[in-house]
Amino acid sequence: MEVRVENLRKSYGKVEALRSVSLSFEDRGLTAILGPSGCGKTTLLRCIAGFLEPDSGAIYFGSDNVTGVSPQSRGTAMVFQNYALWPHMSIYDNVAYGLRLQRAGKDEVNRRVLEALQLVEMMIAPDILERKPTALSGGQQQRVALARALVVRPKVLLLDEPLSNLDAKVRQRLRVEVRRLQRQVGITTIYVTHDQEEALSMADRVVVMDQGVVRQVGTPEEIYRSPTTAFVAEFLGVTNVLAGHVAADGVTVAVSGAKVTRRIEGAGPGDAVTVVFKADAASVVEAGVSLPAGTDTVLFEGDLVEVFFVGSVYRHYVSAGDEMILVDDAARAQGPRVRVAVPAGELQIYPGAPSTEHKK
Amino acid sequence: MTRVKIVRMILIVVAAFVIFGPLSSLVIWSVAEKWFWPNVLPQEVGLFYWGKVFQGRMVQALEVGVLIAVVVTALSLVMTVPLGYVLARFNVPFKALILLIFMLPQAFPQLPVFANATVYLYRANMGGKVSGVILIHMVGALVYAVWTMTAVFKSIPVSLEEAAINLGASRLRTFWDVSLRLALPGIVASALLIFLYSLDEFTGTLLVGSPFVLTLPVFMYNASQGYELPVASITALLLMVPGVVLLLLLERYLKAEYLSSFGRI
Repeated sequence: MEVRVENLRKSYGKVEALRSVSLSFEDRGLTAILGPSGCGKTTLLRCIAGFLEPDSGAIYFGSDNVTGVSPQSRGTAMVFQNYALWPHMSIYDNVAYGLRLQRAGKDEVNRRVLEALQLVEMMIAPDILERKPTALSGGQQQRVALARALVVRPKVLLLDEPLSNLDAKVRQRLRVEVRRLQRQVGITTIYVTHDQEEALSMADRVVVMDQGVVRQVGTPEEIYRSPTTAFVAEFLGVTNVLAGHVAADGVTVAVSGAKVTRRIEGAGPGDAVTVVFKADAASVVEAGVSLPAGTDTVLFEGDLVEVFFVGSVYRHYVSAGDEMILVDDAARAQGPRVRVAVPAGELQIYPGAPSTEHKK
Repeated sequence: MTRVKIVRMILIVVAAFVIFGPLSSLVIWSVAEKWFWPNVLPQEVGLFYWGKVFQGRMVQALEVGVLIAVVVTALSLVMTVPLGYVLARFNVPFKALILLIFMLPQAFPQLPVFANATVYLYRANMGGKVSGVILIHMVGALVYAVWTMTAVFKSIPVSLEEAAINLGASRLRTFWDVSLRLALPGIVASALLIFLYSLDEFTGTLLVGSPFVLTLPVFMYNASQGYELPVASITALLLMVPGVVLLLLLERYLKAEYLSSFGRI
């Protein structure tokens, strides 16, 4: 079932959490809502669940307008960041709760609870049903919470940063699990996260939000490869965000001592622009080493300040002009004078100065 | 033996003396049948006064005191469990003011507050009656009850309730199945506190109840006024029993987080 929101607005006092958000979440798909904390993603999810009443706008489940419908009768099931399992009930009672509310028969409750726990691979011990949730690890608790949500066969599955409280290893494994489950049961799923890797790896579609506004919607590949705003580009990975300006000829962009020839829509001569490129798209060229001729490369002259080994690559910090440029390169470069080479096609240039929060 | 150990030993002995010293004199007085100056210990020791106490009005005072404490506890819980939940969960207007009003009687010296209340209670024909004593105990009990109850419900994560609502449980059902069950240890702890407060309350009971309503503290006061020190000592010892027992129970139930969220309401 498709979920749609239209012109949704919500403010808390003077803070506008949602400023006219319109989106559709495809039937049986997993849509990730990605953004920094305070971007409005959780507010949006809570509006869809019915815990929050939007100031204006409408929410549709399929063709039904559910805007004024109580959270009890919306048929959504939510998974919370802190698992929200009831500590005074056994695992069995936790999962069975929703079914008992629906007055399902004893045999049916029993069958479906076991089914759900098998689905999330939690039938790990003979006494698992009687255990209290606090006896389980965080990852196991979240599996039980997933079972509790799925057992009622909800119309929409809402996940609010479900993996944020778990440690890295468990998180990696549960990503795969959640994705598998979602495909298997085929429920329209909305997944809120601030982790770009999580969003990109799990979702069919990604919605990037910032300051109550949707910045971009697309497949993970589209979002990663062709961000349409400086914010999205910066939010998706270790990225360099540099301040530049357009020269008098209108087609030359000067940035940290380098020059790029490009016509920027929405920026005329003298205007400020934001230049963005990914750290792994650049390479460090040592002094005295020449570049192969004929390639369209933008070069930044600078000093190598620091090199960190981060596992797969060496992360180079190069100070060029007023800026610090990050370069992830497989080879470790020697300083002090180096050049940073970026293929011109990897540079994204947006009109307007970078916002201060992008400055490192 | 290291110096730290010696210092610790000395501190323990001093602490034990400070705690048990006064109690030991109570114990000695309770069995002293004849004890005149300048003797260090009683000349005659026996259980005469224990027997006397258990035959007299003390048992009756104990019964009345327990009855009052039970009613005060029950009434306070009935009033403050819903109120505490509402204050903890919803954006009630003037929340701070409501909490402050309950605090108010404690902000002034007890004696004038209770003396004033006594005048009104007599006017309402409740002076010298159990009902009047119950009302005057409620003034103090509600302070504990409202603040602890609000803190108890505050300490339950909202998401636990939302998870139930999300699955289709009504607000009332959620309160019953989730909030109340999780608050139970806190409610028990709060009930114990109220019970003890009421059982030990003296000033209000004396002003409102005397001489018709007699509870253990008032009984003890009367006994010591009449220089019946053995009787007063026995009463004091008996008064300590429920206190110690309930505080041991309390220690099991009261979570530190309830107390720590006291100031943050």
